[in-house]
Amino acid sequence: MNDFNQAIFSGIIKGSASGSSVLTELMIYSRESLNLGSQKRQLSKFQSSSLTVAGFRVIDGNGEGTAYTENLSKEGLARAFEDAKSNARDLKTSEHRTHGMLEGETIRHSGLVDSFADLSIDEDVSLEAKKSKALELEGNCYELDSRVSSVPYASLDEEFSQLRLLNSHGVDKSFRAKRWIGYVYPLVVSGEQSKMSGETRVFRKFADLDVRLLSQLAVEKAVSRLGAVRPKTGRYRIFLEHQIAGTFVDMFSEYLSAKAVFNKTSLFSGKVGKKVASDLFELVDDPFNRLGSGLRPFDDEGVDSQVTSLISDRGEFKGFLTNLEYSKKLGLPHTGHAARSPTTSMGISSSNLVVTRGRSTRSEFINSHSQVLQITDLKGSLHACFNSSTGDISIPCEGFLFDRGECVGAVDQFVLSGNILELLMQVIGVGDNWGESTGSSVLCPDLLVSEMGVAGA
Amino acid sequence: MTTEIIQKNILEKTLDAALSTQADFAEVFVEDCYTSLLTYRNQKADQVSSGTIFGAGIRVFFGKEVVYVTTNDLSEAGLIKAAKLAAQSRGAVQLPGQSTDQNSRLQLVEKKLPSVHRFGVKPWEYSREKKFGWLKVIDQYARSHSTDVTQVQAYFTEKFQKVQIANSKGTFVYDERPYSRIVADTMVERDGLKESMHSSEGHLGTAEFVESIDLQRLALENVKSALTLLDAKHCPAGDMPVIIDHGFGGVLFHEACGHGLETTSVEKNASVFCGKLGEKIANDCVTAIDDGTLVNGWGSSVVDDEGNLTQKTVLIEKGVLKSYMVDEMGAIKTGYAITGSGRRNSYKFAPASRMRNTFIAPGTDTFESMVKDIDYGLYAKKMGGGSVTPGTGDYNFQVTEAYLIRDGKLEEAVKGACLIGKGIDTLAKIVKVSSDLKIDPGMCGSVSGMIPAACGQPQVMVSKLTVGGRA
Repeated sequence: MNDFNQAIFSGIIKGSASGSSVLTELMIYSRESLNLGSQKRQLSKFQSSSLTVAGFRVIDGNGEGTAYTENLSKEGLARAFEDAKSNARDLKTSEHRTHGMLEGETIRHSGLVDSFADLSIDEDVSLEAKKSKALELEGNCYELDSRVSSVPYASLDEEFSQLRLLNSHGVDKSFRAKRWIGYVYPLVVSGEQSKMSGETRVFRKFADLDVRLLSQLAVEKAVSRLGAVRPKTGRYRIFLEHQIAGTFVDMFSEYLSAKAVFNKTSLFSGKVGKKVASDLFELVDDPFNRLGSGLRPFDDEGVDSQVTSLISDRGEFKGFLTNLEYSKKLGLPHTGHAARSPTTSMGISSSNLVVTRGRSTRSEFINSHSQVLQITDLKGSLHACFNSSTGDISIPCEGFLFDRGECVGAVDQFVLSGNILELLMQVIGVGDNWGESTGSSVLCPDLLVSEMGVAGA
Repeated sequence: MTTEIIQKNILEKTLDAALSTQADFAEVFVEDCYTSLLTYRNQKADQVSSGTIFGAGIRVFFGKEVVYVTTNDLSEAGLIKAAKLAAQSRGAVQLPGQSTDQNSRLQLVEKKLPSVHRFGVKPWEYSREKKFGWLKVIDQYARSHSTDVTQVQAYFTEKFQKVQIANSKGTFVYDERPYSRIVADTMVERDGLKESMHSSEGHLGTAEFVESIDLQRLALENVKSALTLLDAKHCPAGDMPVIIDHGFGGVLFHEACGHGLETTSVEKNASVFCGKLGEKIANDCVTAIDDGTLVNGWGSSVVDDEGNLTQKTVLIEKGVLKSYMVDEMGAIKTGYAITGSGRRNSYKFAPASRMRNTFIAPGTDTFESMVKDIDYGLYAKKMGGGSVTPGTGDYNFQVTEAYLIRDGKLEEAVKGACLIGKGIDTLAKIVKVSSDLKIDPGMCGSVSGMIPAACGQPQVMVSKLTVGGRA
C-alpha cells in the first residue's frame, strides 16, 4: 500500500474510534504473481497479476458486517467502509457481540514476524531464466519417455504476497511471503490406454527448483499408471500415500472449529477428552512448520500464532480451534485461529495441520498383509466425495496392488469407501516422513489403515 | 444506462501500448462488479458481506503465445503500465514510431448490444429485509416439516457485473450481468444418525426472480430427501443400468463429455474427442446443445467474455459430433469457428472456452418406460458434484439421492452412490432419452476460474454404468 492510502486508512480508523462504539478492522492483501506455461515446447502462457484488496470488518454494538473493495481510490475505500458499517447495522441482533477486537500496541516488526523473514527472500532472477525453466519442465517430459503424447499442464509460478492487518485498537501487523511453484502433468498413451499424472513442488528459492527431477518424477508417475486394471471388489488393507493421507485429514478439519460446534455441524462435538483416533495418530496445528502453506506469524485478528494440540499421542481429542468470538461464546480457550480474507466474514480455520511422524517404512507397509492396496491418486473432488454431515467417504481412486509384498500392477476405476471417523481409529501404521512441500497446509506421513471397502470389478 | 467504466480514448491508448511490440492481437477486459452475500443460520440473520471487484485484464497474442496481465489500478497510467508489461513480456523493445505517448492510432466504435434478458432493480436498491425474509421462510418451512431438522443454512448471493471489452479487431462492447442465487442446506438427525441435503435456484437476473420460486417446495424437498437418507442403506457396488434424473442430472454430460469438447482441452490434444468431428459418437437419441442465449439462463450472457455474441451451439446431433466450444485462442490453434464460448470468473483470469447452459435435448421416451426396462439397476434422482480428466475422459460424480430398481419397479432408497467411467464410453451407452427437459444452475471450475454454468437433460437411461458404493 502506498503512503497515500495509509493516510486514508488511518483517518478512517481514527474516525471510527473517536467517541464511538464502532470497532473497525482493516485487512489489506496484496499479491503479485507471474505464471509461465509451456505447450508443444513453446512458451504458451505469460500471466502477470497484480492485485490489492482491502476488506473492512466493523462491529457496531450488536452487529458485525464486512465489505471489501479492489477500487483503492479514496472514494472506493470510503464507500467500502460505509458499506461495512451499513452491513453491521443490518445484522443487529439481540445477541450482544462482546468479543470485540484484539487490543494491543502497534507491532510492525515484532520478533515473531522477523522469524518469518526468510519466507520473502529477495532474488534477482531474469525473465529469461524463468522462461527457460518453464520450457524445460515441459520439454524434458518428451525426452524422458516416448509415450508422452502431450503435457497439458506445465508451468512455473512465482508468487509474492503481503498481508497487513490494522484495527481501531492500534494493532498494525504485516507479513510477507514469496514462493515458487513448479508443476508438470504429462499425458502418456500406450495402445488404447491413456493416463495423466504429475508432480507439484513449492520452493522458497528459485535455485532450489530442479526442473529435470520434477519432470522425471512426473513422467515416471504417469507411466507407472499405464496398464491399470480394476481391482476386485472387497475389503483391503489400505496404504495411503502421504499426500492422499493429507487429503483425508483435510476432510475432517472443519470438525475442529468451535464455530462448527456452535452451528451443529461438527462430528467432534462432545468428544473433548475422548478417544477419536488410534494411539499412533497424533495431530497438532503448527503455524510455524516451514513445509506447510498455512504458516503465519499471527491469525486474522492479529493474535500471535501458537502451536495447538488437537489429538494427543493416545488418540484423545484435546479441544477445538477458536477465535475471539467463539472462545467467549463457548467458554473455550483462545487458540488464535481466526480466519478470513479481505473478501469474507470472520471464521475459524487451522493453519498447518501436522500429523506427527511415525517410524514405519513403505516396505513395512506393503509387507504388512497378504494384499495391500496403495492409494496414490484421488480422482474425485472432495466436496462431492465426502459427506461432512456423516463423515462418509466414497471416492474414486487409483493406485497399486501388492501381493505378499510384490507389486502386482496399477489399479484404477474403483471406489474407496468408508467413514472418516472410523478411518482415524483404524490407523495401524504411520510413516516416517511428510514428503516434499507441495503447497498444502496439511502435513501427513504415509498412513496404513487396517481395512476399507473397495468397489471395483 | 451508463455504458462506460473507462473512457474510450484511454482504452484505445491501452490497446496501442499492448500492440507496441508487434503483437498479433490485444484485448482489454475491464470489470466493476458488486457482490453480496446474506446468510441465515441458527434461525437468524447471521452474516452480511458485500464488496467490489474492480480491475482489468490485458491480453496479447504473439502467434499462439498468450500474454495476460491484470491490474486493479484503472487509472490511465495504471492501464498503460500493465499494457506495456504485456507488450514487453518477450523482452522485445518498443518499435520505432509506436510510442504510446502519442495520440492513439486505434479508433474504437462501441457496439450497442441487443439483449433478450430482463432485469429488475439493482441489488443495492432492493430491500435487504425482504431478502432475509426469503431465507427465513426456507428455515421455517424446513423446521415445521420435521423435528429431526437440526440446522438450516440458507444463503442469498448476488453479483452485478459491469464489463467493458475492447480489442484490436475493433470489438468494443459494454455489458451488465446480474446474477442471483438462493441456496438451502438442511441438516437432520435421528437416533444419532445425521444427514444433509443441498439445493439451489439461480438465474441471470436480479432478486425479483426469487418471487417466482416456490420456496416452500424448495425447503420441503430438501427435508424429505435428507430424511429419506436417514433410513437408506449404503448403495451396492457393481455395473448396472442407470436412469439419471432430469435437471442437474445433466452434470453427467457436463463432466463426462462437455469439458472434453472445449477447445481448452482439444487444442492441447488433451481430449478423447480430438479428431472425432463428424463421427458418430453416440446413439441417435442423443442431441447435445450448449446455449448461451437462453433468456435469463444461469449461464447466459449477451456477449461472452471476449466480446463475441454468445450462440446456441449444437455439439452433438443425433449422435454425430458437430462442434466443439471455441474461444478466440481455440480458433487460432484449431482452426474452428468461434462459438462465443470464451468465459472467465473475473478479470483475474484469462478467458478460456467454457460451457454456458449445456443440456441433452428432449427425446421421445418416458421415465416410466425406462424403469420398466430394468431388471436390476439404479435411479439416480439427485446428483452431487463431479469432476473429469479431459485427457483420459475419466469422470466421477456423486449421487446424493438414489433408489434401486428391481423387476421394473422403483424400490428402496440407497446412499453413498458414486458413478465412475469414461465419458466417450458412457455417451455411447445412452439408450433412452425422455421428453421432460429440465435445466438447473451449477458452478463450474476450470482454468478460467469458477463460473455460473447450467446443466440439464431429460431423464436418460444408460445401459451400463459402474456404480461405486459400499463393498
